[in-house]
Amino acid sequence: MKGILLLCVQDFKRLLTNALFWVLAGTLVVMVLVVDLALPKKLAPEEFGIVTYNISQTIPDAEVMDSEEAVREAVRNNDKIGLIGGTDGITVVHPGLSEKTLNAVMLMFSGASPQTIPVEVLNAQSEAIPFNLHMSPLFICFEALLTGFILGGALMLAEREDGTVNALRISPTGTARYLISKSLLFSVIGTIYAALICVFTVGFDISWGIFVPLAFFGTMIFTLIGLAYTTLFHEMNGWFFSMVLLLGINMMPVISYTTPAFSPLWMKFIPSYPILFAFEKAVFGGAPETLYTILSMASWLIISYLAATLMVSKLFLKGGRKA
Amino acid sequence: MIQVSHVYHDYEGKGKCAVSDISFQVESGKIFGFLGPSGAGKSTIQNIMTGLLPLQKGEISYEDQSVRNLKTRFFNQVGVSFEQPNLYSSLTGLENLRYYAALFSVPTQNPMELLELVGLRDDANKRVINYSKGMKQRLTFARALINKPKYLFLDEPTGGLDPKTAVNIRDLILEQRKRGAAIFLTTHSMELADALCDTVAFLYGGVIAANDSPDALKLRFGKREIRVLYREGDTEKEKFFPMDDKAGMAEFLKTADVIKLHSQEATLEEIFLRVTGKELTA
Repeated sequence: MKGILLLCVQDFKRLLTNALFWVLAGTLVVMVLVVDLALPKKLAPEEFGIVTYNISQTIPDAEVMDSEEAVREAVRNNDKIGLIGGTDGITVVHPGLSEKTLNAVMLMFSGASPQTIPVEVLNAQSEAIPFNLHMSPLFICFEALLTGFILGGALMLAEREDGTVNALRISPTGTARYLISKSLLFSVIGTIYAALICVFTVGFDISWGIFVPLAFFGTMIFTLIGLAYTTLFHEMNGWFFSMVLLLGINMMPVISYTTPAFSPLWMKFIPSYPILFAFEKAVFGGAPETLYTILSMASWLIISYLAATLMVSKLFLKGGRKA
Repeated sequence: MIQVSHVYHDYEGKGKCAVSDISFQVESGKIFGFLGPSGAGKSTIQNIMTGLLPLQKGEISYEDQSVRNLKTRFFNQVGVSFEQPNLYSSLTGLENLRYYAALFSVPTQNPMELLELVGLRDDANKRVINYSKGMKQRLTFARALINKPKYLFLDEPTGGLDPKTAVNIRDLILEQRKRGAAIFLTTHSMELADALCDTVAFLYGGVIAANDSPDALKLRFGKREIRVLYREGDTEKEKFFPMDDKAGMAEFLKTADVIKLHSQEATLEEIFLRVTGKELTA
């Protein structure tokens, strides 16, 4: 264990001179600033005035126009919703609104009289989450993911480029020790990064008991995947661009996060999916899918460790010897 | 002891071997010099011996343990100083040794003491990227000693070093021999091999052209005659006597104004030229 910790310390020192480490540290600051300053707390609702022509009903605040062309002109230039009465009924003219907004307009228009519709909120807390903070788990998840995925691979590639891998190959270090020392270091760094983003955006009032192991093991999974993948490369350029592609795939759960209606089954097999949604629960509360999260992450941890062991052993620390 | 028996290696698998039928042994407490020009196959043999290349044909064993079956923990007993320094350039010299020491599961030497031995104590906290080539070479050598290896592989350990530092490194190699390490030394330097090695092998074209102790090789390939340099009037002259013509030489020495006597011993360089027909160049 002492040896592994010493390796972690020396790897951390190497990391301090690696440009990617500082790029990721800078990314952390940018993410915090984006959440705190750039993203709005509340998205602006779709607000449209109504213009009418030739309809019998009285609509509060609606502006009555003197021709169909005037209605169309108002819709075209002033983002209004137009209602034009005719022999076949009423035609709605709009500048390309969402179906949701249109339905609301039509409901209001068809309502015989204003009445209060009873509302029951099942998740009062999530209802109150400001938009910018709701994006925070995305940044937390992907900063931790990037840390393990990119930095682990970068250190490994440097070992190949400067030839130190040959010194490792004739040393008694085994694949397990190599993987554990690297994944331990990046898991700690990833957890610290995730915690920093969380503290500076959402604050301290979260479920740290869930958050910390989630960040730790989430980063570990991506460190192991990154190390396994990096063994296929001998130079930085090809590695970096293909890593970006893989990162793109791993960021697809963002779609489900921002558009909950879109959560196909295949999306749930992407390793970042359970981690992202578990971060959301850890940060904002709500009913966690504990069993699904634990099973998914445990499976990915085992798969990534086995893949990393096989590939690092065969393609990186290979030699005419047994483990 | 390291036993190498009938080793062949074919990089491309097309029947053209980089090394063929290589056999020798390196005993504990002895230095075995592997001499040959670039491309002769020295690194190939060292890489097979250390497990960096797979053993295709033949056998290499460490105390009867085949290189094919070496376990990771075996490498606690191995030290390798590479010709091309391969160090963590972003770490300091001291950090490099600490990092490497952490890989071993046996007691290791104090990194600072090792740096002192190779003359790098004052530069211990300087990042390796700022080291000269010679400093990197010394650090690589120090790294090879960190685990007090039982089997030590040295590839051009004095290459690029100034004469004073080279002598220091030579002394350290001799200390390792005294400690009982089996040392495999790869070099172009006949002078270094002559000064250090108990046995040398000349590798040329992938085969061993000669393999014996330096003294035995000199005896076998030397001229076995004495050169007498003497003065006759104002001029210096020389005369050669066969080693076994003691009477003739004694008679001559009685009257001659002798300046110098030399045994006509061949150097390793000359022997290499005689054995292979080629000069040993880097």
